[in-house]
Amino acid sequence: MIWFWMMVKRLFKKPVFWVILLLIPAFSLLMRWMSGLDRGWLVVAVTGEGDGKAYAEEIAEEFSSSAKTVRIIRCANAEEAVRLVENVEADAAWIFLDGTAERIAENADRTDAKVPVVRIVERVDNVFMKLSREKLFAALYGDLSYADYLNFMLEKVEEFGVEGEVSEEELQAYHSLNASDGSILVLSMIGEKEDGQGSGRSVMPNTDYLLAPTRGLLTSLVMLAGLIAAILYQRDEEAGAHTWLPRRKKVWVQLSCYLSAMLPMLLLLLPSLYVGRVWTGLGHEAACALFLLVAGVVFVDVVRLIVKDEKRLSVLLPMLFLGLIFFCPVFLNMKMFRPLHYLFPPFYYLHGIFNRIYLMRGLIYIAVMTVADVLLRVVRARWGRGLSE
Amino acid sequence: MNGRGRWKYALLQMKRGVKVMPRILGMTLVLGLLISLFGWQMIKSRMSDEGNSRVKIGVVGDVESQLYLRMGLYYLQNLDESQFSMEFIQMTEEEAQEALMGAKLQAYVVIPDGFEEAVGSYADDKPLRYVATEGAVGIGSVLSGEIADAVSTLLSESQNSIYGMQTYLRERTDLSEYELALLGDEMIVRYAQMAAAREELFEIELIGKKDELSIIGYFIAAAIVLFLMMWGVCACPLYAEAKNSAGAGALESLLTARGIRPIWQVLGETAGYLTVTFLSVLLVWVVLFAVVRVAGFDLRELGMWNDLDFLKIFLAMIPMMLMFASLQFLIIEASGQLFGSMLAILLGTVLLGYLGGCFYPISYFPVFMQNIAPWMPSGAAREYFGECMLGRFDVRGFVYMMAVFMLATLVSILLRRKKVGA
Repeated sequence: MIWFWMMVKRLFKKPVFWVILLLIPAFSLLMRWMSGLDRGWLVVAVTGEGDGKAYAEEIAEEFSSSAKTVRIIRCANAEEAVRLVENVEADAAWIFLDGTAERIAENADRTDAKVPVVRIVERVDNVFMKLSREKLFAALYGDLSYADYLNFMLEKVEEFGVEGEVSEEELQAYHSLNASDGSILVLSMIGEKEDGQGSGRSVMPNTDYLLAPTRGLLTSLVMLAGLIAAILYQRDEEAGAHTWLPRRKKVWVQLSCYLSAMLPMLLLLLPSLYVGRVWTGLGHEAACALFLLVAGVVFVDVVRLIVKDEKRLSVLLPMLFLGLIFFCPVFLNMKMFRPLHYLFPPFYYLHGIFNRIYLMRGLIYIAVMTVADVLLRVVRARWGRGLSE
Repeated sequence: MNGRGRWKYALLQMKRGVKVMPRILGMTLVLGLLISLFGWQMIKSRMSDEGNSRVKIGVVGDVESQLYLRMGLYYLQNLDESQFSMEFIQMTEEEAQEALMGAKLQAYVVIPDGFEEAVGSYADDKPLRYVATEGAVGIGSVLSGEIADAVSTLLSESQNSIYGMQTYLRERTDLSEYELALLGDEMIVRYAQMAAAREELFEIELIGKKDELSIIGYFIAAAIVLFLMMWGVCACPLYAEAKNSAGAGALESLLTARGIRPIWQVLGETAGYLTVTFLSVLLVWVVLFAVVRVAGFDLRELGMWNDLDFLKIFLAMIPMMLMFASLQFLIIEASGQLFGSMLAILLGTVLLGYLGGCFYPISYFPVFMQNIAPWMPSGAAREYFGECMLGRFDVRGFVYMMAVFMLATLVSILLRRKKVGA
């Protein structure tokens, strides 16, 4: 314990460490604030021609309030919208054509080629553009399917000789009877128990692409703190600061060194996750954080034992940082170099936070890494005496 | 000490940098190779220049016996343009789970037995289950979530119409339940046709790209900036605490007493730091050049370059090296501690890299952040290098980076003066 407090004191006496610690929740707060601002993967300029303007306004309103991936810019006319695309200020322009409502009604009548409703101007066609068109079609689908419903009903009312006056209001009332809330499709997370009664969460994953990397980025900082602590320890070791200590005691000094760096970061990680709105509950978060701490300490020690050189460790650090960012699901869940993913503790932590199966695998990882750690120590002690501890 | 002494000190620092180079270069070479290989793999297997990518979604359940579901999937997969973005793969739930955990799928949909009957009778007790890995959130997960949202809207709206039609006709006519079910089927076919022909509702005009960076070009610029930002970590042990064995500021005071004033100390050490940075970046650039030439990247920006352009662009990177090296040196000077310096540089890389658009395209951020990013070192360097890749010279970026370089060096000198009590 004395070693631990000495190491903590050593780090905390430098103002820069305080600044670093304060930056972590500040970053989470910034992310949270930014997630509330208008943004998207794509910027779409929306406008209409003639009576299409009202439709354009309606769609713009709907996308502005709900879509996470499309940012809307309202334009006065088609020329302005196209100019924005040409000047790379927007990715696409959606121009609702004159007579939008009539065009929708006409499409409901036709089984052959459809009448265009929206003119779309794009610089390039890619998967995000396709996604935006799917979203646009989904937004139009309510009116399209309703127009088709009205046509179908008028056809059938005549065919089956329904008595009395049939008004559109009445048919509309029947259309609204079910008013499905979208429970045909429910979202569940892998590893969640299925109860067969559609108890999953609402349709969309509660994910925001700006907030999503917060946890991964903060986790990588915890790991980096541990790795830098290992470099610090190695520097002390090479300077002969611990030569007088018995080997068993050195293990505690090493652990104290790693923990003194990782624990404060981890303790700040938890409130940062809370303020960053990526919180899953105190008990669950604490258990997962404990897992990260243990797995992280073992990983850091194994890396140090393998490299055993302060400068080489320093040069290795950017590579490990890249590994933490790209092989752990911080921004992307990469398919490439899959075996390398299993080497990094955050891989298990970031998956495991939503899926216990990964935490179970993580426990196996800890066991394997601990065995590797012990073996490395034995090898170092037997064949590397004089070079290491 | 005279002017010769100052130069001698600077030369000494440069020699000191070169002396540790073999060790740093070896790792830098590996780092450069890894980044290049990684980028190459990404370009080859994940993205094309236009960002087309297939979202793979597993389908679990008996689709064969569910006519309309099969029809819907068939339409989605084969009849329209979405085949370029979505691929449905029939599998068992165990296979789907394994594939999802192995990142081979973005998500899978479980179709319960009797789903169509349940939809037909308007019961919500057998919903489709869309299974994703929330922990593996990334662009792909958000993408498939958005598609799921759109599909859900289509299903719900269709259900509203069919339910409304059947309820009305049940109350107003003598049609049997069988006849009503047939009418429901008729309506489903109409809606499926409507969904299949959805691209016809749009009059799409492609005006082509102007002189702008492709998405891969953007990420190459971002990767170079990230490399420069994080590279400073390698040089930290060389400068942080290296002179503190005789007590904090002892060596600096001794040098001052010998006539090398803080300004010359800082300039000399910065020269040493820059030497290491310059040689490392040169090495990475040569590796990148070799990879591009051997692998033959099909990338517009790189295709535009001849061998001389590679040299020109390397020279254009010098302001970026100056800025980042001076900032890293400032951090080391301010911290004076190995742990703090390294962590601050990496924290800076993570935070500034993220906010400066090095991990996500800056257009994904709110307008506020898009306006601030060019005034952050990471954002300014990324934009400057992007312009260089297109063969243009970004004057604003150049002036900004030189200003930051001078300011950071000035602050380092002031800190050194304070340290030696000059």
